[in-house]
This record gives sequence, structure tokens and C-alpha cells, in this order.
Amino acid sequence: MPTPTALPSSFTAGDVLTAANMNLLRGGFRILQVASATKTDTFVLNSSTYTDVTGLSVSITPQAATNKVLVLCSLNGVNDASTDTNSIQLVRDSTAIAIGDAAGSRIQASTSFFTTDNNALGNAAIVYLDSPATTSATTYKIQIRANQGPNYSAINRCENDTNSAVSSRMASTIAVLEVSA
Amino acid sequence: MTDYAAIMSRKHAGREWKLEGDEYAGLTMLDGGDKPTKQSLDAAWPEVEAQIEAEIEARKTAKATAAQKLAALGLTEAEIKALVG
Repeated sequence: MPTPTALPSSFTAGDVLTAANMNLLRGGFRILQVASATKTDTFVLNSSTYTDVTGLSVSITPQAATNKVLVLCSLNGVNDASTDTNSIQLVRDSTAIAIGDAAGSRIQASTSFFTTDNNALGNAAIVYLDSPATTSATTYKIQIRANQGPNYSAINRCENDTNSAVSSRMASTIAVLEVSA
Repeated sequence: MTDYAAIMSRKHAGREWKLEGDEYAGLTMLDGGDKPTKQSLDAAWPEVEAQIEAEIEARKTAKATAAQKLAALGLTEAEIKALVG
């Protein structure tokens, strides 16, 4: 998007915009709408099936099917540090998006936590420019799972969540921005 | 505050469940089995809490003894810190 240096600092009655002016203005309106959800409580899952994380879901209704949706996620939590890894995926309605290619028995995921200490915390980010190709309400959400069995995965807390300054409680967010084509 | 997630993971290993928030009401079993009662989980908490605290202490002790052993081998304080923090 060009920097609108050619635009005047203000407009006055009678000004006529050139095509260049209008193209510069168009860039300023490229983000059409924003929605977000911030989760401040905790979620713990003991399962190897991808499961919705309560509170990390957001809906947006694109204004045009050609528009894109920029998804930004900041996630804090843990896998089962002593026995297992975990996986996290971004889902549009019921379709996983922003995941790795299928490769044998490997689990497809957008990202994961990787902690090796029960008092440690992991963080993960997802940045994905989606093309939902719809003008219907669309929901983006986060799902997590353990990888090798019903093992521990958590959002916004560590595994040894002792009531002391050793432990932290955090927030995780998902935001969606509709970007005009 | 009772840590229901810690109790479930230690006393009901192999079960599938989720815990939304910190309270017992947020516990949902995902494997079709019975949900343990609040009373049974609350009763298990003192033992689980003691286990967690013992593990944390054991880890601190292991770190300290590891540092002592490394020092005895001739590593400098900076080298030990680089290894065990």
C-alpha cells in the first residue's frame, strides 16, 4: 500500500480528487472491519482429539466474497512437559486452515507449544491471510490436542499451577481483520 | 484453590476430559465415562498438592546438587550457570 504523501493535509470545498488521490485514499480503507476475542481464564484438555478452546472463537461476515481475512492469534499455554507434545490448529467454521501438509501419520497443525518443564509456559502465534470466499458469517476458532494419547494441554496456565509467584496466569487472543481485495 | 486439572491428570490418568476455568463445574468428561464427584476430587487434593510441592523441591535440590558436582569437576561458576541456570 503506497504511503499517501501526495494527499493534502486537509481538503477544502471545491477540491477535486485525482485518480492518484483516490487510489491513495483507497489504501486507507483497506481494513474494513475488525473483530477479536480475548480469553483470560484457563482451559485444560486431556485428550488426543482436536477440541475447541472455549473463548477463543470469533465471527466475521465479509462484505465481499473477494475480500480476505487476516487472522492473528497469540496463544499461551503448555503441553504435557513430561510425556507428550501437543498440536494447535486454526479452524474456519469446521475446516482446519493454516496447517502443515499431510505426511503419513504425522499430525497436521498450525503450531504447538513446546515446554519441557512442568513449571514452564509456551507461547505460539498464528498469522494467516485467509480467503474465505463468502459473504456469510464465518467463525474462526482455535483447537488443541495432545499428540500421543489423552495427555495434558492447557491454555493460559502452566501444568504445575501452584498458588505462588512461580506460576503465571496469562491471556490469549484471536483477532480477525477483513481486508478489501 | 483445588487444582482439578492436576488431580484429574494424576488420579485419573488415561481418562479424556476438559476443564473450562478453575471450578469443578467446568469439568466435562469426553470419554463417555462417569465424572468423578467433587467430593472425591477435593479429598484427593491434599495428596496431589503435596506431590506437586515435593516435585518442585526435588527439582530445586537436583539443580543444586548438579551444580555442586559440576563445581567439584572444576567448572567455573559461569560455566555452571550456562548449564543449569
